[in-house]
Amino acid sequence: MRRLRPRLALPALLILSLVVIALAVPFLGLPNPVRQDIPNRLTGMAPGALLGRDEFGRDVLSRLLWGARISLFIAFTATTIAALAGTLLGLLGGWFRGMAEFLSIRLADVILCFPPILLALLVVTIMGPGVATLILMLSILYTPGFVRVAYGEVLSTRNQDFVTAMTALGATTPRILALTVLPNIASPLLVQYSLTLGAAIVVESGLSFLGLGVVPPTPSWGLMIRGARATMEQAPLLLLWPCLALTVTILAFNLLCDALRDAFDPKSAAGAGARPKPRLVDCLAPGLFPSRVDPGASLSVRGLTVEIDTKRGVIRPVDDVSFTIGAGETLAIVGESGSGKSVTVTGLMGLLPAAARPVAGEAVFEGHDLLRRSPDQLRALRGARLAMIPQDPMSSLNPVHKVGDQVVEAILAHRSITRPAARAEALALFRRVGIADPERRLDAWPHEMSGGMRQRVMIAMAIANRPALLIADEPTTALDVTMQAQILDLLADLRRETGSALIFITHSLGVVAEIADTVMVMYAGQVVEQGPVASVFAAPLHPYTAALLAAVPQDDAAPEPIPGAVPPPHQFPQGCRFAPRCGHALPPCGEAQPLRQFGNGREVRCARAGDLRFGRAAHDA
Amino acid sequence: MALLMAVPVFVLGTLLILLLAQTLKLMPAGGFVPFWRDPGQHLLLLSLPALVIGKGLVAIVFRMTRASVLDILPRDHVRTARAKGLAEGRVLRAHVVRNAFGPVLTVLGLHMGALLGGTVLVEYVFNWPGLSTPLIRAVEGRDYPMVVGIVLTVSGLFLLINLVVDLLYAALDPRIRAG
Repeated sequence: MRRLRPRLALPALLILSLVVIALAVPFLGLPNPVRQDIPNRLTGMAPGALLGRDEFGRDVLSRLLWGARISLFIAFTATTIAALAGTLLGLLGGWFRGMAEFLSIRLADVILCFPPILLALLVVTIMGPGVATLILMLSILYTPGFVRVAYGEVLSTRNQDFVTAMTALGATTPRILALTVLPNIASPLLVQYSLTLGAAIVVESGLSFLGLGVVPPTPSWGLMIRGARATMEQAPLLLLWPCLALTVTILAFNLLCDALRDAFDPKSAAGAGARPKPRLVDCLAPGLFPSRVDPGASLSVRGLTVEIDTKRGVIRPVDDVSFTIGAGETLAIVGESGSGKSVTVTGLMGLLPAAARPVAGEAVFEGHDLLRRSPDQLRALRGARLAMIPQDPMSSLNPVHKVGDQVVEAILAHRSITRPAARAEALALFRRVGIADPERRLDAWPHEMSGGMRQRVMIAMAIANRPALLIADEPTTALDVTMQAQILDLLADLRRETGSALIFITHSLGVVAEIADTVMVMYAGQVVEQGPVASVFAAPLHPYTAALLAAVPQDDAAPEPIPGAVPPPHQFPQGCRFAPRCGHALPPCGEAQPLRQFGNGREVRCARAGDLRFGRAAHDA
Repeated sequence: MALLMAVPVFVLGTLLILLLAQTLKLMPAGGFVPFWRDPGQHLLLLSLPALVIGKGLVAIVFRMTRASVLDILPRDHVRTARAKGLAEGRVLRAHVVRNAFGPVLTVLGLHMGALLGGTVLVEYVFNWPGLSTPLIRAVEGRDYPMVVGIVLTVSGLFLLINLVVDLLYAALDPRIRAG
């Protein structure tokens, strides 16, 4: 808000001074703006007539300022009438619906259908030109705008809790409308008001320019331009002054409108992201000093940390995440919503939104650090060696391209083969992922396919270039249960065939047990436990893992929900992040916990690991 | 951009005549020559009014395209396009601009109304013998049938343009097409 002040101040100051001038014109001791002085016509700047005289010898400065008075008077009066009438109609229409809605909204629609200048001319034909006609006509012209704004805002406000609460408390309708709804819709109406003021001045001056608005000899900017056109050759400056006055005034109103709109609707303008600096040694001698890479690993991530700039400061939705996935292995990442799973993998793919950036760590994939590759190098990997299956197949396909073309596009992005060859491959891929009638489906639009089919298309797209690593971000969440099973089977088959590694993000622990080799449990941006699936599930070391397992419905036991929710990143606790929700928390849990090795390839981030026993181990003990 | 939006069409037209025709003597100040008599002169005379009328649309299309592109950019399918490893230019052309064009087209069609109204002023400024001269005369002379006739003609044109826009929209977005 504070940053916007200067933007708001300049146009506001300009308009304020215009209004003051318009109000003070009669007291400024200016020459009479309509008194003609034919002998002195078209004289230039002179004492007594600072800006010269017009074609009838009238004082230009005086006419300019009186013109401002007339223009602003007409604009403010008409806009105020339109605002009052439109807001009232919109409020009633939006609140009572039914007949009131029909009358106010349809009426507004009919008026909006007419090109504005034509409607204005129609009114002038019937009433004759003049200030009164202009005010009436502009009010009619701009009422629908306010009706629509008020109506739309009332519709969205009326069902909100505080309005329902007022109704429940027995407040009368006018009271609710005036005290609760009106203040909430005031800001869009104010924006509309400033917008309309500018538009009204444009139409008024335009009509006056045509000789159908303000009647001569009353001074008006439009009329002055009209008059000066005739004497353009002798006195071009006469044309310039009113044009300048008109443009500056309208500019001021437009700027005010923009500033108001931004002030009321502040969309976060987050700064551009920066990648971690390349290591000096990598620049000088690439590959000379490779980082500690686990040989045989497909992807080795060490200390990945992602930061996002927000209005409340920098947050870290992913903090010091490390994992390794071997070629052909499947790693499952589990955790509640908000634990940082998706941010981790989008960070690896280089697909983070602009405000987010990996600030630390490395992710070595096929001998290169993904986090320090240039955007172009990363692009060449994406879709080729490294592919992703998204969460929601409904929105992940572009609705305006045929699905076959979208797969062909993925193939052609990385291989120089002919289009027909790519199409033939796409056909084979469709067949492979189990799309029935693949020839015809290649030319289908996304909206003609079911969710399961679309996810198969996404999978076909992901495996098109035989990636070494496939990242599936909750690939079955948006699908129904039977479809989920089919997609999982398909993924398992494909992995066996192609030998690619798979990172599988999921909420479903049942799925993890079925397809994954290792599991990584994330909570509040950190890894809390990881290890081989079988041993982790049999004897979880972290209370959060245990709680997740207990929350799975079993044949004999009722599921136990975990109390509370994952805190948002700006409210992560200082110590163990799970402590506030943990039934086993002790004083040491107030300290930040490191990830500790625990034998058999297991790691855990818990002060009481080893001392607490869960799962089958607890039963056996 | 803000300045361009703020200048009313008739002011811009008048100032252009003042600058190009009056001061620099580059162009005629206005008038009309039938196309088949002198195509060059016809287009020259047409250029200024067309430019002035187009000015209003530039600002509108600019704003709408910007808003529309900003709306499309964070969509999932754009991320998919990037995940495929497409070059950024291709992502923008095939997956952002193509999708963003629909709303722009709609707004363009709707503003044709304001535009048709605006031509009245521009024709007057440039002495172009369109519908505006008879319309203004009819308004001054309170010739109701004439005014109603012209308003109906223009409204009809407006409807026609919007029909064309709707058909174009269907060509752009397969979801609109009747299945």
